[in-house]
This record gives sequence, C-alpha cells and structure tokens, in this order.
Amino acid sequence: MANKIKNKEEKIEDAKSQSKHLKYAFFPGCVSRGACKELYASTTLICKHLGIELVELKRASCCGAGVINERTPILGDALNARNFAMAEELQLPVMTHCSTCQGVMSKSNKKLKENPEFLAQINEKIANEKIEPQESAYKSITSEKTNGTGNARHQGINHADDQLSDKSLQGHEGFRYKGTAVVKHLLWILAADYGLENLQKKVVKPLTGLKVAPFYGCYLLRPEETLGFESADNPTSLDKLIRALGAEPVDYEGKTKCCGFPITMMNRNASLKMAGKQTLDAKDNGADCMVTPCPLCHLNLDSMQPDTERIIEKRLGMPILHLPQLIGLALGFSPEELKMQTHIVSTESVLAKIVDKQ
Amino acid sequence: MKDKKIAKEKTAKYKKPNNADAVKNKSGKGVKSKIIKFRIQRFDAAKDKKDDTPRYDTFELEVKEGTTLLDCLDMIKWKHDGSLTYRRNCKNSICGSCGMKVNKRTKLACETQVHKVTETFCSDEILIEPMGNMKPVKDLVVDMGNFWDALHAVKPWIIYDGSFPEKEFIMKKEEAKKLDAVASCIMCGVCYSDCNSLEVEKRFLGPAALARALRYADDSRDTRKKERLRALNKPSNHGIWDCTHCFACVQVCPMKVAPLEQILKIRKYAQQSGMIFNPGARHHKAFSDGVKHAGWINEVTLPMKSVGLNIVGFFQLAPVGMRMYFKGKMPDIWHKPIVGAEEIKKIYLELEKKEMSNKSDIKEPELFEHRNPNKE
Repeated sequence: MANKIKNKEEKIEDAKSQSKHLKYAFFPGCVSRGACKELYASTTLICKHLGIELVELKRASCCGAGVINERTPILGDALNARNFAMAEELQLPVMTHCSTCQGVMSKSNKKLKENPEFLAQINEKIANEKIEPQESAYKSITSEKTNGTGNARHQGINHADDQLSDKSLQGHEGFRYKGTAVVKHLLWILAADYGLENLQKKVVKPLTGLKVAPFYGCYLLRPEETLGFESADNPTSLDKLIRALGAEPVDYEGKTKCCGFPITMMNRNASLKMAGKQTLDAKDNGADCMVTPCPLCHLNLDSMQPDTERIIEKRLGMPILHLPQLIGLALGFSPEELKMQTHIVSTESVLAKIVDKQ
Repeated sequence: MKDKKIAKEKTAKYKKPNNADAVKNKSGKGVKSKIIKFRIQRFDAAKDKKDDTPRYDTFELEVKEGTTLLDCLDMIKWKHDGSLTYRRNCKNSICGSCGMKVNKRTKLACETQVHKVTETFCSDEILIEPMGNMKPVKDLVVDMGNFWDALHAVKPWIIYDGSFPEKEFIMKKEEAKKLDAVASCIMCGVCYSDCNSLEVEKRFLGPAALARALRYADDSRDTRKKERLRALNKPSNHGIWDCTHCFACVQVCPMKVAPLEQILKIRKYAQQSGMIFNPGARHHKAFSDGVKHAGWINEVTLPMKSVGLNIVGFFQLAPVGMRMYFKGKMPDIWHKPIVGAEEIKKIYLELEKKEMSNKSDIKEPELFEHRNPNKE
C-alpha cells in the first residue's frame, strides 16, 4: 500500500518535472537589440542557465510601442496580429522582456481576441504577405554550451533549428492569427511558470544585504483589465523575486510610477523631473540600486541620470539594473557577462556590496 | 500655535458599530468582521503652516465585510471626532465628491470596500490622505481650483458658427454614441489626483479636461474642431503631448472613461489634420517610418528627427549620444532591416495612408466599456 502511494507520488513528481520544461517564442523587441543590448545578452544568458528554451521570432516586427498604435491604431494591431500568428505557428506562448512591449501587446491581443469581426478584417491585411525568406525566420536559443567567444548576443543561439521554421514556412499562405496567442513577460514567467522557489534553488551567490528598489513602472501593471497578472494597487512579484535572490526589497511610493520616458522628446524637463522624483524616492528609502523589467525605464533612469541630476540639482548616483542582470548576479554570472560595464551609472557600488558579503 | 506639532494618535475603540445599512447580508449571520485601523491625515489650512509635516490620527473600528470606506468615515465623524472633514454626498458614485487617497491610490470612498482594501494590501491598517496634485484645505478636502481651470481652458461647450436649424439639431445614432464614454465622466478629480505628469508639470491640463476636450471635438454639432485641436496640440498649452502614458487615469477612473484613450484619439485627430510640426508628431512620424523601412525602430535617427532643426535640442541630445557611444551603448549606425521587412512595408502601404487620411475601411473597436449609471 505504502509502495503504491510512493509510486504515485513519484509519478506526480515525474509529471511535474516534465511539465517544467519551459519553451517560449521570444520577442526581444527593438530596444534590447539597439540601445540596451545588455538586456538581450543577460536575458538569453539566464534563460539558458535556467533551462528555459527560447525560440526567437526573428521575423517579428516592432510592437508599435504605443506610438504606431496611437498614430495608426489599426496598423498597430495588424503588426501585432502578424507577430502573434508566428507564435501560434510554433504553438508557443510569447515571452517579452520589455514592459512596454508587454503592455502594448496585451492591449492589442485583447482587442483582437474580443472582436472576431475586427480580427477577420485584420487577417485579410496580413494574409498573403509572406515573402520567401532569405534566412530562417526563427532562431533557437537552446541550453547547448556556447563557444565562449564573440558577441554575447550570438552566444548559444542556434540557427539550425530548421525543423521548426521550415515546417511552418513550407507552402505557407501567409499569416493568419486565430486569436490564441498568450503573451507573458519574463518577470511573470519566473514568478508563475518557473516558480520563485525553483529560482531560489539555483541561486549560488545570494545578494544578502543588498537593498534593491523594485521599479515596476506602468506597462506591466495598468490597466489591470488588459494585463491582469497582479494587483495594480499593490504588486508583489518583483518584491518576491528580489527576496528569492537573497536581497532585500525596498518599499517606496515611486515603485509603480512612471519613469517619464514617453515624454522625453515632448517635455524634456518634466520627463527628467519624473525620473528624478522616483529615483530620489528610492534613494531616500535606502536603496543601493533599482531594478527594472523595462529597457525604456532603464534608458530614462540610467542613460539620462546625469541630465536628471542637473535638473533636480541633487546627486543621485543610483545604479539601475535590468531584471535579468540582477538575477544573473545571484546565479553566479560575472558583471562582464551581464554587460554591466555598458551602464552610464557605474554599478561598482552594487558589486562591491555583493563581493563584501561573500 | 507655539506648540510644535506632534503626530497625534487617538484611539477610539468601538465595538459593534450600528451601521446595519452597510452590511450586505441583512441577517447579519456569517458576515466576517474585523478590527481595522484607519490612519487619517489631518490638516487645517487656516491654522497649520504649509511646511508642517502632516499630522495623522488613528481610529480603530470593528468593520463588517461589505462596509464601504465612506460608511467608516461617517462612523468616525458621528461617533468619535466631529471635526473630521471630508466631502460626501450621494453614496452612489454619481456625485463624485468623495475622492481620496487610500493607501496612496485615489478612489471614491463610497465605492471602496474596506475589507477588499485590507486584502489587496495584506494589512489591517489603511492610510487615508487627501487627493494629490491639488492643495489641501482641511483634512481630506482639497481645493479643486486647478482642476476646474483646466476644464474651463478646453472650452467645454459647443461652439456653432453656422445658421441655426429651425427646430433641433439632428444627430445620427453613431455620432451620439461617440460621446458616450466621456459623457459618463462625473468630474470627481480622481484621475487628476493620480496623474503622474501633473506631479512634475503643474501646467498640464490633466486627463479629465483632455477627455472632455475630445467630447466637444467629436461632437457633430461643433464647428470649431480644427481650432480646438490646434490649441490642444500646441506644446506651450501643455495639452495632449504632456501625457506620459502611465495609464494611472485608466486604472483609477470609477466610471471607466479611460481618459488616456481619449487623449490618444485627440493626438490621432491632430496628426490626421496635418498638425505635424511639433516634437510629439515628429517623433511619431519618425518612429513609424523607421518600422516601415526596416521592421524595427531606428534609435539613431529617431531622437534627431524628433527635435528637428533645433539647436537647443541638438545640444541636449549630443551629450547623451556621446556618453552612450563611449560606454558601447550606441545602437548600430547602420539600421539593418529584419527578416521579412518587405512584408511589413506591404502592410504599411495597405493601411497607413488610409488611416492617416481617416479613410480606413476597418473600424477600430473600443477596448474599454464605460460605466453607464443610467443602466445600473
């Protein structure tokens, strides 16, 4: 009897570990391939390490970042429907690592899913558009070992995943979105699919004593109707993740506020003041660094920080980390592997604190 | 007033509050009840100096599930401290009087259930403060002057220049339907209070006024649409282009007006009407063109195209570019098109021009359904 139960338990355990193989259609977005290449490098690095398989949607276009979507909303939805159709072909959920991509894609997806007539009209525009590609439309980022040299962006990326791409491209009539795509941010995947307790098990260099200010920003939280992963009033996923890495999350009012990036070109002063306000809030509450799940927040908080300091007439010196960089540090990766030397604000103070504790 | 203000903590224990009205389950059986602490900001503009650190009074009440915050405030005022000041009226989220910050998020007290707040924040203590972006007058009452001034600035009335019809204006059903979402605004100021842009730019008109501006720009009887759009589009008027897309207004609006969505519509109308000579519209065009030609944004030319021929703008951009270049953060100068960029260009050719000239054969569905008090 006891044996039977044990067998059953083992079976359940087996099923659990089997279902734990996570695979996503990776939507890197524009900024992680442009001004924040360190994000791309660190995301692919930690996913590989955690055994999360990514198939990059190389053929996917920009999500519109809210800009195309407000200037020409139907065009914005068409671009997104086309991207969703690609993930549908692969039968994989989409993974983003940019809050703005996540927010815009969630909104577009909701619109397309809830309005079948609209979806059909959009499909007419994106069908029969497929032009035979020069190279594989998808590339797979697997857990195979890397060659260790060259650009980190290309490390471990396997172009030979032709089985997937070719099958879906042969005799293709063009894209058609059925309305079944699911879009998830890296933070959500780690918090819900992968599990923070599993992440904690992988931590080899706990960030003990480091005070990290979580900067949720806007697009992962609001409006709850389109995103809905957690409460917009009191989000906790990033706080819990920081704790799982051994660090201490800092509570401050600015954590769910805007970084100011969207108006950087329209009202520079207000944009920098906004960035300064939230950074100062984190600093006043004792943060050693801030962590953000959005590369656009990173641009305004990190790259613009010298200008922000001039506008608010206060010294900030606040290191800003991308979410996968903070995780990478706890997983034992070196700051160079995570490309932290490319930040405008030096991350030395953070690294010193971690090293001290070891 | 020589005494230094010290946070005054007052505790008033009150068992079994006599607020049977507020309890949904009339039998009173099986209704959860717990002690909740209300930490309420106190202030009196007539007595207190502005730079005083805020005072807080704490009250403890036993609260049954389903009880609203307004019921609790009434209880405190009627039974414990008659000097507590706040606005209230209809108890039905129609009058829009009782906006206040609940754990730093603005809500209408009359539709906020206390137990739900404690569940969301995992704490039996609730912090109550006056609305933000407006001057406090007394306790939870604020001076909404700025809010009304902004509303007045968008001329919230129909301006008609033609000759008047003999009887009434005839309006098509779909024309009237366009105005529904904003018409359900109760002008409570909740969006204005949580607006992230207003925290740093006092001259910004704010979400409620801009949403209202759309309601008149979209009215088929109004003949000044272009003039309205021009005024809202002008950067020095701090209209549509100061909105930072934080979605706070969409999240907090009790009537689901989705002010941000309305602001985006005005931006679209302005660009459709050829108002493209400002940083906002230039940025949008440059952004969209980058994607059109390569499938993804061109971060090298985008900032330059957005500032346009502007020497001040150039000198602001140059140091940012330099420091990014030296850290190796500069995007590649050659903007390599993605695989399948031709397909994207085709979709653009099919849709962009039609949409920009408002001749699209596809109708964009509304994402948010506004609340209609008449139907509730």
